[in-house]
This record gives sequence, structure tokens and C-alpha cells, in this order.
Amino acid sequence: MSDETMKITLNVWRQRAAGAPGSFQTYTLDDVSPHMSFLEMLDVLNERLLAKGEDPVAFDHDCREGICGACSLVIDGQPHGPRRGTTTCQLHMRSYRSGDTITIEPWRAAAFPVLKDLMVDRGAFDRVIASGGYISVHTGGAPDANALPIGKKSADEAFDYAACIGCGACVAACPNASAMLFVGAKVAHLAKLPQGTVEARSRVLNMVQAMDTEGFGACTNHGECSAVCPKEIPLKAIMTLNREFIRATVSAEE
Amino acid sequence: MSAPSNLAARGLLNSTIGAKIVMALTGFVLVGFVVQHMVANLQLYAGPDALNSYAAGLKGLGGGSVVWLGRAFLLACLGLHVAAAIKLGNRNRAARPARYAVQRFRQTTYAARFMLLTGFVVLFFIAYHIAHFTVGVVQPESFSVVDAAGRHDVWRMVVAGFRDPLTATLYVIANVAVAVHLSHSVTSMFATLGLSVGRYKPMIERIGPAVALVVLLGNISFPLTVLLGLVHL
Repeated sequence: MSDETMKITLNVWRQRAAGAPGSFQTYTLDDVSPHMSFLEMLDVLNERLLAKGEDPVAFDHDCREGICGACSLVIDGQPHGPRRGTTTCQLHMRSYRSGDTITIEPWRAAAFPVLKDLMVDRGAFDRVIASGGYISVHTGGAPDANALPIGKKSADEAFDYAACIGCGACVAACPNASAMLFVGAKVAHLAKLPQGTVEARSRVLNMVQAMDTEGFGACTNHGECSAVCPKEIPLKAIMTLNREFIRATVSAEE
Repeated sequence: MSAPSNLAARGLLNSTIGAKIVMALTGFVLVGFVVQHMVANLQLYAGPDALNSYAAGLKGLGGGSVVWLGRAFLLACLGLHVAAAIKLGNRNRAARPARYAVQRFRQTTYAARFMLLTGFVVLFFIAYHIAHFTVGVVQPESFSVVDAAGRHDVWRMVVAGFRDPLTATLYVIANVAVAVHLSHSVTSMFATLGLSVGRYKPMIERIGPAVALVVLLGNISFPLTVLLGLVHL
């Protein structure tokens, strides 16, 4: 890989505050290292903006190691950029060539209002989780290891769904801004485990109601959510959500 | 944690997944009818007697009550299907008030993206088709014909109808919309019911395009064979 620096032109969505009108601003960086991560490239841009006394570009980030779910950005029309199974923070400038123009937008959904520039409020996901994305257990001494045997297949599947980091790329990619992959991952994760079966019925009904209340769209089976998911949550999560919803709807009250 | 007790009161149509289930179940009835309709119409190739006696038999079932019950049931399914589609479509548009300047899709198809559009084309076609061959107001001269046995001459009505190139073209175009709609929706229907999993998944992914192709070939064969003179009065 070449160590030569690259010239990158950025079209960045700038919006002063929530509800304020926004527009694209163009910035050019002449000396981008291919070793930089995408966010480091934005850090460099912000240092330049600060040096010039301009307002830096606001964007979410935290762990920068692909696990916290804070980073977002729709990069050239794809949430988390062009690489499959990769968060924005794990995207590196070596994926681009000198002379490229990159368009950066925030997640766009009614349920994720823009706070500033590229930052959106993902509190809707927290409220969906609070409505049922948990289990109730007795507190006290730690339970004995292996006191509750769980089959290998169930454990593996539950873990696959638990890999969801709640970044919201599924909502950002969905043509309907639907949150069903996210809600499906949470419902499926807990439904696969014995600890989660106790509250399974009320969980799915409450979480679907919360999802609807937040104003997310409905799934029309495009498959975009799973295709952009940095944790590659399978579409099967939505099948499980639908099955759990049907089961809970037709079953008697607890 | 208690389940929302007002779920039943909210009704299936007011929850996104509930409305999708209504779409899927009514869609299942409607696609079943579309396939049955195409297969029954293949009797066009068996000649006037076969088609006319089938039609007369169908209308005479249960003293004529069965056909009306069937029509009422299908119209109810169609009404629910359209109501759920409008409800979900409005909701989905409202869920993304600001559009992306650039959007690159990885997975979806044109059939999936234009479901509402093809759905409305199909809806208008159904209205036209009923006006044409059920009510008989589009081409009244070929509708009010009776065969030698005194039955409604369905065969002659259809063949005479499709001899008009404009009408035949309209049917071909409408059936392309039907096929595009089915190619996504039949597969989607199974997914909404949570059935597109495991070893059935590969089959379910192909069933939509397969049903669409079979229905398309069957249905467009009627206007095309008449236009080409292979079936003539």
C-alpha cells in the first residue's frame, strides 16, 4: 500500500441545531494519509476548521474500535460506508483514492432527529429497550456456573443476535426507516435463552408498541438493514420478531 | 412488566407488524385467486364449449350464491389489503421526512421499491377488468353474446375483446405490473409470517419470481394468441 497522501473532497451535511435548515458544505483535504481512519480524517478536518476559527463538524464517536455503536454517518449513500460488516470508525482512507469526492450525511429518520451536523438523537432506541429489552432476575449471590444448561445452538444464535451494537444503521439504510432488524435482534436474542422466555410475550408486544410509538416505519422485506449492519445481524431476526409477535398476539393473557 | 392491554383495542391494523400480517394473509387469498383465475382461463384453448360451460357452472353453483360469496370475500380481502397498504405506505413515508442526497442500495430490487406503484396499477386494472368482462360496459357489443346452448359466450367475448390491439396491449402491460408486484410480494408474504427461515428459505426466495413468471406467461398468452390470430372467431 502506498504511503502517498491523498487529496479528498468532502461534501458534509452542516446543520447548526435541531430543526434548523441544513445544507452541504464542501471541504478539501490535500494531505490525507491512507493509514488514517475515516474519523481521524474528520478529526484533521476539524483541527483545520478550529484553527481558522470555524465551527467544527459535529459527529458521534466513542470507542473507535467497532464495538460501542456510537459512530454513524451515511457515507456516499451507505450507512457506515462501503465496506461490509464494518463500522465507520473501522473504515480507513485506504478504501479511497486520491481525487475522490465523499458525501457524508447523518442518519435520516423521523425517529432520529438531527441534533447538529452529523449527530442524531438515538434516544428512540433507548426507549424501545426500556420497554422490554431486558430480563428480570433475582439479585443476590452469583448463580452457580452451568446451573442453567443452554443448548449450543440456542447459545450461538442468541449470541449472534446479542452482537447488535444499537448503532441504528439498519434504520438509516431501510427505505422505510424501519427499526425491525434492531427490535428483532433484541427480541430474538432474549427469546432464545431460558432467562428471556418468562417475559417473552409482554416483551415483544411492548417493544413493537414502543417501536411504533417512536415513528419508525414498517418492514417491506428489502433486506437493506442486514446488508449494511456492521455486525451482520441476519434478516432471520425479523422472521423471529414476526413469529414472536404472532405467538404473543394469539396466546392468552399471562 | 405487563403486555399492553389495549392491543386488541388498537386492532391489528394499528400495529406495524399487525398491518403487515393483514397484508400477507389477504395477499395470500388474492394471489391464490390470481393463480386460479389464470389456470381456469387456460380453458380458452379448449374451445368455446369448455370455457362457456365452466363459466355457466361456476355462476350456477349453489343457485348463484357461491359466486357472490366469493366476490364479497375477495373484495373484502382487496379492501383490507389496500387499506393496510395505504396505512403502511403513509407511515413509511412519514418515517423518513428528509431524504438522502445520495442513497446506494445493496440488496433491494425494483419490484420491492415500487410495490405501492405496481399495487395501484393492479388496483386500477382490476376495476377496468371487472368493467370489461364482468359488468360489460367497456365493450358492450361483444359482452352480450350468447352461444348455441343459450349460455353467456365467454369465449367469444374474450376473443372479440382481445382482437382490439389497444385492449390487448393494455392487458399485457397490466399483467407485467401484476407480475412485478407478485415477484416481491409472494416471497415477502412468507417473510412477514416469519416463515422464510431454515431449509425452506431458498425455496421461499424463489417462489415469488416463479409464481410471477407463471402467472405472467399464462395471462399474457390470451391477448397475444388472439392478436397473432392463433385463436380466432
